Amino acid sequence: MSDSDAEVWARVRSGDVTGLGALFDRHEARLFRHAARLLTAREDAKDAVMIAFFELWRRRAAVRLVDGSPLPWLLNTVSNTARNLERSSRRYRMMLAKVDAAEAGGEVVAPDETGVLAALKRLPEREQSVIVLTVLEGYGEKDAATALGVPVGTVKSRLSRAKARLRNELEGMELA
Amino acid sequence: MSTSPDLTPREHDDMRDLVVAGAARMDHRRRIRRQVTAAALAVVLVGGVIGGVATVSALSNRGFSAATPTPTSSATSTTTPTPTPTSGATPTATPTSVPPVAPDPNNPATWSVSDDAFGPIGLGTAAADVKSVLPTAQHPCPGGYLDGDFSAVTIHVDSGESGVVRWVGVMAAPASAGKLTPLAAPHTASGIGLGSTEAQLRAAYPDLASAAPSRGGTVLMTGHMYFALNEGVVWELGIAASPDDIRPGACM
Repeated sequence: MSDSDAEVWARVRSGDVTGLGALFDRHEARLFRHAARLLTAREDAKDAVMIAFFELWRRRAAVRLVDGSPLPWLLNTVSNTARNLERSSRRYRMMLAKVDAAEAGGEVVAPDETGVLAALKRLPEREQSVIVLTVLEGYGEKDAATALGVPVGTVKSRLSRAKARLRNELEGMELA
Repeated sequence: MSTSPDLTPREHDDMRDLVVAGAARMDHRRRIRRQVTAAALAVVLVGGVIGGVATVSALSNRGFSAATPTPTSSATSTTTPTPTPTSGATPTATPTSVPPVAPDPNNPATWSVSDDAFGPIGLGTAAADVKSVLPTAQHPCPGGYLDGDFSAVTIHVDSGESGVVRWVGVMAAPASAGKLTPLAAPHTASGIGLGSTEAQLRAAYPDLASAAPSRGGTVLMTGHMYFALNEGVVWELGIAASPDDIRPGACM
């Protein structure tokens, strides 16, 4: 997969927009599922995926690959975009709630019953990125470090801090 | 998590089309921006050279010499400034031209309005691309309008058919347009913006033609750029695929 990703990526780097379409076909499902985990509205999840691909195209000269694949970079960008979308749509939902309570809900997805996702969203951005790549998406610490452009030691320390925070959050919820 | 965590084939195809079209559009805009920047640099460089020549020439004419004065006891004066007639010494830039500035999405005053672009947004820009430029542009207004942080910027997205921008415009309340400073909001390279007079507008764009949008009102167009006037003052300007794409009402 990585080999073919590398071939497609070479096309993208040379400015071939059909290469971007090929990457979309290949990774859209995984990215959308990832976005849907982080966002409450389906349309927002779709937007997050598209924005990640626009960013991939715009920054194609500086994207960090892991084993020749831009997928970890895309996953991280979807996480960042999802955070921004969630923040701004929260603002708009509050505003709309004042105008018309009936429209405030929108197309809401199923609730986060365990509270794990909510706890994940409350993590600092850097720690969230590490958790997403290593725990949710199964990349090794070295690959995550490459995708995020930080040393492996930093990934390890962020991961450790993030796990501790999540543990505390979840214990707090159980007690409550 | 959604009850249907995957995209339908139709959603996939629609999104793929938007991604590919948006990326192609992004490259097009980038090429235009590079050309504009190169042209602006050339103008600045040429202006600087001409200005420098004019300054040196003017100083020479007044008897200033950059040559080190040599204390000679000789009575014969050796400095013979030869004034060279430089017909190109007069400034060539028109007073109304405004140097292009890279558009800052958060500062619409830096947005330049040209035949195919309204700051970072162009005709044909996909709705999702608009959101990447104006992340907060997702307020659902009646009729499919979107608005950004800058409340006077209104963007119409023809999502019913093509899902791309058909017109982008900036507007003020017609009655207050005369009090505005054109460069405080999106404006053209000639410095025409909200508050410009009809005389300034016609001087900058002699090829303006009257258009009759279905929404009514007085609108003058050149290419895709349009200007709406109220009592001889521009109160709205923008770009539109056609006069009928300039719609009535907006989120303001």
